[in-house]
Amino acid sequence: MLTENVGARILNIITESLYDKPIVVFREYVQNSADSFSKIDGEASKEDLSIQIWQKANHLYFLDNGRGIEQNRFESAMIKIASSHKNKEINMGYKGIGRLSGISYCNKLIFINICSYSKCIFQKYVIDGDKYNEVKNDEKYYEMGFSELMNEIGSYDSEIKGSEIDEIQNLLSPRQKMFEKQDTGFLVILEDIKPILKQTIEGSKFFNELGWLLPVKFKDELFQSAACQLFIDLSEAVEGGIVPAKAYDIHFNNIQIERPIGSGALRDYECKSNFGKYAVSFHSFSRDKIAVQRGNDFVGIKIYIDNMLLCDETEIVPMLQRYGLISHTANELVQTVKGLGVMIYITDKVNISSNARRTFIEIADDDSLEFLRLLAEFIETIYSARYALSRFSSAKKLLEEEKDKLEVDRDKLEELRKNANDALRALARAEIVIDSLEYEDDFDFGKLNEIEQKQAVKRKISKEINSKTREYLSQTTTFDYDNAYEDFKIWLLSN
Amino acid sequence: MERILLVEPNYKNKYPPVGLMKLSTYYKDKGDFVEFHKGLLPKSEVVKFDKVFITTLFTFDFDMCVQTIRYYIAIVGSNNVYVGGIAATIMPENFLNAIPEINIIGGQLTSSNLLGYDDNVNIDSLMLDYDILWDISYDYAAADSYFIYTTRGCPRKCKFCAVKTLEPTFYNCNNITCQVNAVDANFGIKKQLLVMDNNILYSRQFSKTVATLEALGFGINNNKIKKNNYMKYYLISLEKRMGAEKKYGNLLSRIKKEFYSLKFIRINKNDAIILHNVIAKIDKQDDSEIITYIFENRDFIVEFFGRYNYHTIVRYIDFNQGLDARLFTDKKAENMARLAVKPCRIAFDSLKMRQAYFNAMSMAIKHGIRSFSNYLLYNHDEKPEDLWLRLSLNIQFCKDNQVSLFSFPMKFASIEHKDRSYVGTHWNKKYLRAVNIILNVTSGVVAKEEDFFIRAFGKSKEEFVVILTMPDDFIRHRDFFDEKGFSQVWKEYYERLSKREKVQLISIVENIVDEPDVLDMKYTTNIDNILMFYAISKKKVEDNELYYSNLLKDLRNNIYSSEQLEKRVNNNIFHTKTAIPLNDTKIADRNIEVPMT
Repeated sequence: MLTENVGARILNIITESLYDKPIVVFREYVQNSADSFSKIDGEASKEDLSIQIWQKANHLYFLDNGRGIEQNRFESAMIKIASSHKNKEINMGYKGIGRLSGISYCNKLIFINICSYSKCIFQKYVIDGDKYNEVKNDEKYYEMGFSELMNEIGSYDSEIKGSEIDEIQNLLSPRQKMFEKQDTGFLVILEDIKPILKQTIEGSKFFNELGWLLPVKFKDELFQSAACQLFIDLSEAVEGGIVPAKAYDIHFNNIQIERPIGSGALRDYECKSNFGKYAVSFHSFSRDKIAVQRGNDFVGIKIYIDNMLLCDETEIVPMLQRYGLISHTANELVQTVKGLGVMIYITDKVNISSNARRTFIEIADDDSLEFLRLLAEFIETIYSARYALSRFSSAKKLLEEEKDKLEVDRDKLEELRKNANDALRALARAEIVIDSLEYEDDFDFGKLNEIEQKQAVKRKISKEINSKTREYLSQTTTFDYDNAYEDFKIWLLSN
Repeated sequence: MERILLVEPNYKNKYPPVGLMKLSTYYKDKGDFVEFHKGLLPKSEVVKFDKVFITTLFTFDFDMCVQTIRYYIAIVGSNNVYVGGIAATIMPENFLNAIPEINIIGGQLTSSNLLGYDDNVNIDSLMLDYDILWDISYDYAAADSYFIYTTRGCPRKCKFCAVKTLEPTFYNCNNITCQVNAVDANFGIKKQLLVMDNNILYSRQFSKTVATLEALGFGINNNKIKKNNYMKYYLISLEKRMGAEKKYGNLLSRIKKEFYSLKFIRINKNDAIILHNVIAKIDKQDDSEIITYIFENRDFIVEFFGRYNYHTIVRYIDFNQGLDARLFTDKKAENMARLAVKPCRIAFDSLKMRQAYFNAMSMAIKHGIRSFSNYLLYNHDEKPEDLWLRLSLNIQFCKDNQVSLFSFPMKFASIEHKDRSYVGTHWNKKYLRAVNIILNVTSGVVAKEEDFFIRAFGKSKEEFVVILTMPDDFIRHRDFFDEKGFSQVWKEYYERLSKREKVQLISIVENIVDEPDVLDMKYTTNIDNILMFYAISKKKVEDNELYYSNLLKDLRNNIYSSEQLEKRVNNNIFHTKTAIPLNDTKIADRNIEVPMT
């Protein structure tokens, strides 16, 4: 693209419409760092590469020890827009606009190209946010081309010298370990970050949000769990050479960020499956009910590209509805999928790509639509399982409370149990054989311990009392508040 | 002085408890203290009474009646509780089984001796005490009516009718004029006159009765009168209650409501000053202050409301039970036409009555009656198709004779049943539900318009049965589902069913409401496919319009084989059927199974 032919307002359009949530700056700069890792061809191995993010005073820093930008390309790379040389299949970003995402959230955006850490060769490009705001209020802004704007608000230093080198070294020296095997890198500084970004960083769930958003590792404990093979599979290359959950060593304020799924967040089953040729996934669900578990953050559906969060159920379900792929209401389905945890990794980046905002997949052709169809089918299967389990569970509870009916309704209960099992199999997305089990009378009051007996009795009494209270109130039109309980008792005892 | 508590269980009903109103008159005439209550009263109040009279009405409210009776017996003892009314008269054994110590006074209370007094007053013939209706907050829809009997009982002993038990002897009553005049004097004029007779046309005094009713202001040309000034009677009652230390809260609420309803745009400034003062005091919620102010200005207030309610109202007679078509003669029809009858109700309970019914209708029309609202019994011994035929005959008759006729299908509920669940031999719960849904659109009546009738009930009796079989929501929102094309596609799938499958379909869908799980069971492919439509609702279609329009397109084009359709149905519409597992899947090394514990 010829940058000189692009109007200055493109910057405003990009920053305001594509990066409207502060947390996306983390995604964009981490994505650029991860892409620069792919160009490494020296002695550094995967384990030596890392991304350090930290906040100090009112500034936010993103540092990686990737390939950086070739020294002679740095300036042109900085002043151009949407002219990335990245490859869609290999790299995360490829649109060439992500580096500008920080501009809305700070007063000064500084890029330091670490050409050689050991030789202290650094290049710098600065975008002055104050200046940008000034230009935006000037009439000439509307006539300006993008290059002209960058000349006005950006300044380039082909090789930093003197005290500025000390300043950069001061920033890098606490992290000098990153440069033991790797001499290049890149540093992005957001100076004087805006309150809205600061507020995001200071939020109580921020660290967790980063854990869901960024391409980070699974916790070690998952590799020790019963479902360890699943996590090993996801961390290894599938056919086509793509690692679904390709992870990087990323730290924020010196703490390693991990995917926030602990072994306690796993439910009874973890199942791995495919969404056609487009994605691999795993989902974790309970055998007795599909319901939100208090305190478990691993809920709902999350879709990843390059192990970077693309969207969750709040975006997916309404989209499926708009495309006419689901039969139930969006609210119902969003609530339903929160009853289990699902991670979907897009592996076919040729046919399935994200939209410009990176908040959903781009619906461009039959492949993307087919992928949505598979998603819709899966979500409806979760819905079916939720209700099949719920009906079986309610019927079972009812029979526990009314044991006299047990004989009569045993067939029906068995049918519901069969339905629930079938629905679970469908949800597991696996053809498995279950032995036909004899129905057991699983509620033997005599075998319960004292506390369980008390709980069972309490449930029974509460249910009866609630029902009687409703009946009593429906027959009463005048009340004596002080003696209300006595009056109710008379009615209750007389009936 | 005895303290008498009159109780009606807290069921919903349109007519006030006529029996209790007569009992009230009896006791008040003796100088006793009487209070009426609907439902359960706190013990602290009940213990102040010596005797409790409890009425009963519909047999399907049996459980509530029994519980109410037991409650009062628990407080004042069985010797002091008397139970009467229709349900207790029809099924005394059931009440006795439920409450062995119960004291039932069945049938009509023709002598006070039945209550242990020796004054032998025919309580059944006493005036109704409308004042007790102001003891409670409940408003009876038909309270602004005279309730009169010109005859009691019915010589016919139809098997579906309870009159033979309630009023076994047919006889004439002679106190209509006295009753109406007494009501006028004590409570003001009433808007409607409900003739509660069970079969008035049997009366040999019918001509005389017609003349009496005409004289009372219900003739075809003398049925206009000035609206009642309720405030006058409210204040009389309020004064009496305060004197007798009776509760007046619900009466005062009615008085307040009258003031709040005033339209000040119609009121002159001088009047408005006092009225605004009353409202200001009502707003302050100090009842004694309100009452004092109202009584200080009582003459003005009564006179003002007299002026304010200057309207003339038109009054009508309603022969509430429906007239017996078989007893119509030209003379009786001529007499009937002298009265302000609107509507004229003639029963058309079965096709066997067809000739008598239309003869009666023709005679009524001949003498100028133009407005009809006729009862059509269903869920009894005729088929659904016969109901359609009767309705259709009515529509045709209206068209031919240019009269107004509302057909009023009445569902038969066996008087031997203690709930409303009775299903007639040729009916089922699905059909009954469907008729109810159709009738809900028009508040229970079927108007004379042919196009509406054909749309709602079908153009043939066969089509009527098909409509009754449609999914409930398709019937409820006919235009919606027709416009979208679902009804037509449903019909195509319905027509694919064999006779046997159609019967099976009904046996499944009649239980959908009570047992939604029936949709989850597996049946034949044809049945499974059509059951899909029974899970579709208007809301679902509105929420996922595109999905359902795609589904409909596929169904309409028949592109789904039964297996494919089943898959789609299982996954997307029903809740629990098995979805087809995908290939290339893997599962962690545990079995998938629902826990039993």
